[in-house]
Amino acid sequence: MKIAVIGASGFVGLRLVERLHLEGRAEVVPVVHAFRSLAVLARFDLPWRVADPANVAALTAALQGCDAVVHAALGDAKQIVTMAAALYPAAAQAGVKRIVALSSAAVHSLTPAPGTTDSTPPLLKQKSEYNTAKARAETILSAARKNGRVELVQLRPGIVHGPRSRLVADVAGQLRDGTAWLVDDGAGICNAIAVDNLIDAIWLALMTPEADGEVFLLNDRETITWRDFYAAIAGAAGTDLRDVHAVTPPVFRSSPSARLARLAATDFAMSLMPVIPARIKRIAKAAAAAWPANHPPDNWRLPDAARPAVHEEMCELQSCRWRFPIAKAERVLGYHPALTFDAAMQRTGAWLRFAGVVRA
Amino acid sequence: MTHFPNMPEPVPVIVSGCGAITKFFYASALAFLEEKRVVRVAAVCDPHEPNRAGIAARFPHAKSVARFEDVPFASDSLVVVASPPRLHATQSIFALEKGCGVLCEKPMAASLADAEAMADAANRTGRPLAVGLYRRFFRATRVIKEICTHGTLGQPVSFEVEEGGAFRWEAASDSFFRREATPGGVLYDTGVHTLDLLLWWFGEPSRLDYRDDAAGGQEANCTLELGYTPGFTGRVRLSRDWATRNTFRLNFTRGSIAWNVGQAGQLTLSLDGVTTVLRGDVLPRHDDGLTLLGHSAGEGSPQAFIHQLINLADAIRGRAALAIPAAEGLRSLRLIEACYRERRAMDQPWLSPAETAGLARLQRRTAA
Repeated sequence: MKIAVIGASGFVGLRLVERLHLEGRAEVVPVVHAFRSLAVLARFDLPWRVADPANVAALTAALQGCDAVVHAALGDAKQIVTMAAALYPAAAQAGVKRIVALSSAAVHSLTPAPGTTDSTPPLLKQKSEYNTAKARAETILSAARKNGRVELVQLRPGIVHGPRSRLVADVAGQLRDGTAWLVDDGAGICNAIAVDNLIDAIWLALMTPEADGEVFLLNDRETITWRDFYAAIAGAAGTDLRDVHAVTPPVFRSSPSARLARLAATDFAMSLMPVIPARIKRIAKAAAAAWPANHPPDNWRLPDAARPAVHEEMCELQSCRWRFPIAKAERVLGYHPALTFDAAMQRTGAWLRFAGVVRA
Repeated sequence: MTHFPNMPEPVPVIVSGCGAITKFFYASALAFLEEKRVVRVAAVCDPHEPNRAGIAARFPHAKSVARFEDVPFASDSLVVVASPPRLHATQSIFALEKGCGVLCEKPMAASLADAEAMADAANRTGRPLAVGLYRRFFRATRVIKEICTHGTLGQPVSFEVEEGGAFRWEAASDSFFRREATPGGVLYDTGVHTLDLLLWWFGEPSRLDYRDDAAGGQEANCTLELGYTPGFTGRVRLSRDWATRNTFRLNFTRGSIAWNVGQAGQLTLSLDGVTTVLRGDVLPRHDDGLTLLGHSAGEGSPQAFIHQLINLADAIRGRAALAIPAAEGLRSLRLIEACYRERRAMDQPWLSPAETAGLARLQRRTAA
């Protein structure tokens, strides 16, 4: 079986290529957007292809001869939507039989309502552009499946962790620097899934005929709180949670430039852009950038100890009170997470030392 | 302040290869030196028309040609060979035999044998052949060289080097990542600079232990442990996979030096008996032996490229010895080839048993 992996240089895509190739499960065709993205993939002698995943013609050429495709490409909000729009027609024209697309549990927002399941529709209006885009992408693909013949499985993983996880590396760095923080003492639910469990689910999604047309929420088998998650990273990094800051979520206000950028990204504003003179656009950008975000620093003080940088998105994630169910994935895919959370974190710790994120 | 030699006529320059290194480094350095009448770009050459046009636009008086054979070579020209590594030997030897001086971008060649043929050609023709190991022109690396040479901080005890990060270079094709076109990965690329500095400062190691993660392709991560006859050791970790500290830490009997590779003119010093560390700019001395703050501007990578070109222009005119002659370029290539000969697999303990078995199988196949 020949499987194309779009976004093969990203966190999940790269791990999928490694697993499929090293375990000899399938012929892998990595697809990346730019030549520079081959740097880590080039450890293997693979028939990679370079194509813009938002360009139907380029993507069709890249998928030629493949039986299935896994879409794991990352992008900003706009790219997420344009890539989803290109994926189905390209796969159809290339003769691909099945698409497995990585969506995200964030389609239900970062603080999902209790009772949310796989059958809950994605939230198409969210505060986060990224989450909204993931929801839109899922909807675009589901609609395409209704009118097309290429089989489609969409996966909604939660917080993916493991080797090469940016989140894990960042938390390890914050724990080392004394800037790590937890909301509500870390009592919120972390819908964690080990990348290797996700890879197993992707494999099942590729191989299970009954999965066509379905979406699946995916988690590890254990219920993990954010405190558990940080404690496991601390353990892997050889430290502990003693210096973690307790945080009460502040009221977040966007800067004028961020508000302007958000406004400019709306469909309505985009439609107006061509008729707004360039000079006006430049003046508006400069004014927003020049707006003082904070008061100038006061020199009459001693240097502060390292302080946590509290982000709105992470505050919301840590405020989650709902564990996504995986009953449907268990029933239809036969997904039973092979790797326990502890075993997965041991692997992650080994990688943190390999990558020099923490000292061996 | 840099002194610009009084040259009767600017040295004509031919640029072979108009890819990223020329676009982001050589073009600006050459434009500055044209303004100072040290050089004049006579021709730019690249088979890829858009790349060539971009550079030619900056030097409208220069001839723009697609084929290296069509370049109008004049003896005593300076040829910048910034083409893909597999072309370095052919183009450098051709230019030397035309009576030109050559600045060959690193890595010096696609193989040690090619590099040796280039050095032979330089000896045979008597023309200067320099290798683009520009970090040797950094003020910080030159200070470290002096400290090593004069034993200012005592004898070396150990060193630890981490260099690299997620690969961001705008490669124009995948040839950079194909083994048949480019024989190595991060060691062959970033490692050329790293090993060149270590060889310059500490000489040849007496033993090495090299490991990488290649499995049928090019390594993205590697580690190298080096031992030296006086009894000190060093460890190098290179990556094009994940961010490193990009730092050289060198320990001597009377203190330590930390140098960040992105800071061409800054060092951090830890001296025995001093409870704090000193971090600051490396500046030239003045008559009273000290430089007042703000008296002299710092230098970075752009200045190193400019100094490198000035040195070669001077060498072509017979006014200076080459700072980095071919023989120096050969040293890091020899060490890299020795590393690849001694290659062992890096431990990747997060892989499953099935993956580890598959990895070993691929690595055995590659070695065979």
